[in-house]
Amino acid sequence: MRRLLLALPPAIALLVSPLPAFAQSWPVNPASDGAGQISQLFWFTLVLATIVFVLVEGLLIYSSLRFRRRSPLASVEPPQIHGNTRLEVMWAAVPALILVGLFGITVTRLGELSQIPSDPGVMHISVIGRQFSWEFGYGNSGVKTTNDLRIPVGQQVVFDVTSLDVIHAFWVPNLWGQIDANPGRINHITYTANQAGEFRGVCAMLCGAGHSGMLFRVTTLSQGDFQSWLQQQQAGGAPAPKPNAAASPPPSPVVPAPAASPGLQPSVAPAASPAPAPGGPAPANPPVPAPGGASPEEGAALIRQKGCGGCHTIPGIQGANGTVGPNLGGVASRPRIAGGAVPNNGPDDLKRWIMNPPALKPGTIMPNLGLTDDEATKIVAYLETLK
Amino acid sequence: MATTAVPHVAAPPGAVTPDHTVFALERRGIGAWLTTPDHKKIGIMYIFSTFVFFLIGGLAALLVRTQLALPEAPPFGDELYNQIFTIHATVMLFLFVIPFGVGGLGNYFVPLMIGARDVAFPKINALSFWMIVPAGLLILSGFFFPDPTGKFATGAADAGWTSYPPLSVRGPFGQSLWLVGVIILGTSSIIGSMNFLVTILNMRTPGMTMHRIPLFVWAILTTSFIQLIATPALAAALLMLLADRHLGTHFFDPAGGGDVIGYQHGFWFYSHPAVYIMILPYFGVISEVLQVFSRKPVFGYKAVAYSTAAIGVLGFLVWAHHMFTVGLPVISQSFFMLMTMLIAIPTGVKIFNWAGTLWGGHLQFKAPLLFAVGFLTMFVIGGLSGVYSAVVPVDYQLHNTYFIVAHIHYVLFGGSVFAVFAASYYWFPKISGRLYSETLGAWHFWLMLIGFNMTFFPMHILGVMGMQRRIATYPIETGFLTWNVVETIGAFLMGFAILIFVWNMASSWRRGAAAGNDPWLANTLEWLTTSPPPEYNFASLPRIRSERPLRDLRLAALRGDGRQAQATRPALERGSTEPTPTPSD
Repeated sequence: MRRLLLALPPAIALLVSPLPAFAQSWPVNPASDGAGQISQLFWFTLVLATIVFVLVEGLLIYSSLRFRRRSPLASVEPPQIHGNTRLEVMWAAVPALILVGLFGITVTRLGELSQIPSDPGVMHISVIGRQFSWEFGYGNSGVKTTNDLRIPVGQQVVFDVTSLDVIHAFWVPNLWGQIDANPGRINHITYTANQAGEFRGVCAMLCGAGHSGMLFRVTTLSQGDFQSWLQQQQAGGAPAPKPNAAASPPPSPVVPAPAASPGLQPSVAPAASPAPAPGGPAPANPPVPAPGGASPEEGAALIRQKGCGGCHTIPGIQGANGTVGPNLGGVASRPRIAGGAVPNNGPDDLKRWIMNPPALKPGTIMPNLGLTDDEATKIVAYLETLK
Repeated sequence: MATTAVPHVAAPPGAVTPDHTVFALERRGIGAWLTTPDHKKIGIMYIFSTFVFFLIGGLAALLVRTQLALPEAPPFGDELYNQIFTIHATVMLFLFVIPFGVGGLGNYFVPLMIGARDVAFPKINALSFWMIVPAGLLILSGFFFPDPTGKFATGAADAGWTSYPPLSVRGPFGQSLWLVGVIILGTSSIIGSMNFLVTILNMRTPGMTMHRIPLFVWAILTTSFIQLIATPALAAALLMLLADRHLGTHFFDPAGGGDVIGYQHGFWFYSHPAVYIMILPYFGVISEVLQVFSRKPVFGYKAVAYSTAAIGVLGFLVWAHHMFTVGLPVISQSFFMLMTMLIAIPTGVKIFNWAGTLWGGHLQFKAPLLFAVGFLTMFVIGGLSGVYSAVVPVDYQLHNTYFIVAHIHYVLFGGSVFAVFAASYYWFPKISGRLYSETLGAWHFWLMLIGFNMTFFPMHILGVMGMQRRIATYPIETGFLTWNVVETIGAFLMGFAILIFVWNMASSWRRGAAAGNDPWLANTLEWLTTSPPPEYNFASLPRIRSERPLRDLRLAALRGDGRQAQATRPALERGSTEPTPTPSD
């Protein structure tokens, strides 16, 4: 009840929100050639269905009103009509013709949409689903990202989709339809994005406790931007953070926590760190009030010490080139973190997240490292420099 | 055209026949119910127990709706939420929609409608009922029972009613209980359907040819055929899943050479025909109700009967339209798309024939007809939204979204459940011997219709906006909240409407006016005998000469046709009201 009351004000505020969201939906705003074709088919079906809907519902409602009798039970029977073969043949044949037409139109489109090019020059991106994140691999470049898909505009891309555990479904509504990520099988879809922007990607197939949080961001970039981003990634991970922060972390020759090899379960990473305080955040530590007071330098040191780089690529941290978790470049300016499961409105959100990830996103593979409040504040101070 | 006025006379209060007390529970106690092989008692037990499951499933639905209206502060964690919606769907489909229609209505009315004294195998019939409740309790008990071997976590099944492996292989212990429960329910279905097939094919009263059996019986016949053929496929898929969980097999585990898609074929080979198991009996109900309350024969009896059979056959050739996103070859996607579109044709034929039945009738908008017309208007929406999913590329976008949730609820709630209420009001006087309150019935209908559309229509929009099904929460920026709040309000409105229904039924059962044999001036044989019918159903039966034997009797009595009237005299005299002849052409 209390939760209900708490949720009331935002509920009212957001009652006016759906229109802009609808304008971003795939039938209105398809952002690839394939999505455009699907969208056309959708609108065509919608018009067809609306015509049938109006006619049939009109017939039903009209006859209900026209032939209604208010008397308790009819004293006189209406004419007893047992059928009319000509009419019945007609109303079987007309829908049949409409449906066969729709089938014809659809089946040609389906053939086009399912053409997977065999040309070796076409770019492939591997998509690997696992509970509860997405890993993307870019051709032979060796670059991998997690929950963060970048694709070039105007260049055909083939996605090779599979899963490591249960069935997931890879879905970026604005770019194409769903395709299941089946363990032990690889599915292929292909399209050419035709619009630069950011799009919402989701797992569409129930995959366990973290299903609703298995979200990812898709950024479509101009081909130039995409290539330079890819080269940057290849060149050792990440660009240095913006100047103000770049100077601060002193280059440290020692990486105390050797980065876990990519693909290793992330639970390995914290094992290298000092034993976490039992029972999560130590209550003994008084919270450090001023976020400005924490120094990013100390945060960077902590990040090295805790082995965050085993799973994450973190700009400015040497050896932090993990690919199990998302690349943290620009994390502070993202509207949502944790693959979209947690809103990011400031340092406090980021801190809440790193102090106990499973509490905010059930099923996440990011473990609770048992950070103290103080440690978390410092780490966040560094992450906040990654705009 | 003859035009003799025949006023309808409600039975006077004293007119309840002595048979009414013979039937009552008091006389023979609870033991009579536990041991009965009587198809009517078994039918009533089906109806009651499955309705209780409907209330449980409805409660779970309200929890789901509450969760989705509060995305920022969801009351349930993801694990529990997954269990709740899994149980909601399982209970509604396997423990309500299917057993209520076939087991409940079929058991009570098929023998009465074909003029038989009972089903062919009464004890097997009792067995098939007594499997339902234990299986249901087994499925629900997943919430409480830990795994004795400690291999699985505690909790109810949480992989959705489809229970796709590998997720379901890893699920909590309740998943195993779920599998065993559903297999038991399937077994009950199989033996129940054998019983109906034998009963309908062999035990019709003289003169009742296959073209004279009521359309409801046609529907149960086709449904039984589907159940008999399809359910073993489900049982096989589920047994393999159970073996993967407990015996270390790898049917669906790619690491051991298995294939995750194999389960989906087995499951949908049953579960798509099962959609027709869930709707055909209710098509039958609608055919009966429309005839009685429009005072006309059904428009095109053979078209309706044969389209039912066509659906029964074509239903086996469309299963993979649930699997368009798994990555099937284009050629098989095209085949299943074509078959899916073809199966829309017999369904369309039915809709038009029902509209033809309304056309030119004298429509008596009592509760059964209200719900029947509600069924037609809502089912049309469900049928049309199905066309979107048949268009394969569009299905790529709509699959696994709330659009599909909307579709299935327009078909199974706006369709089947509206027909459940039509049937409940239509046959309540026969089962209880009492009349229900029409006022409350109308309130129930209109609240239900409004609440239903508030709840399920916005789901189409949400699906198109990209809201995936089976998510426990969603980011607020998606703009999903508004419609979800509307839906939740609608769902609670429906909950309230159902309370009105329960009150109407309960209070009318105790205090309603006596109904007499045939308060609706209906067509089929169940209305010939007393309300409620005696254990042996009929003392004697007329020879059947058309698909509307009771109307024939009324006409015969009107014409003073001695021979026809004489033959049925004993049965008629036991009734509280003489069958009122209604004149016509």
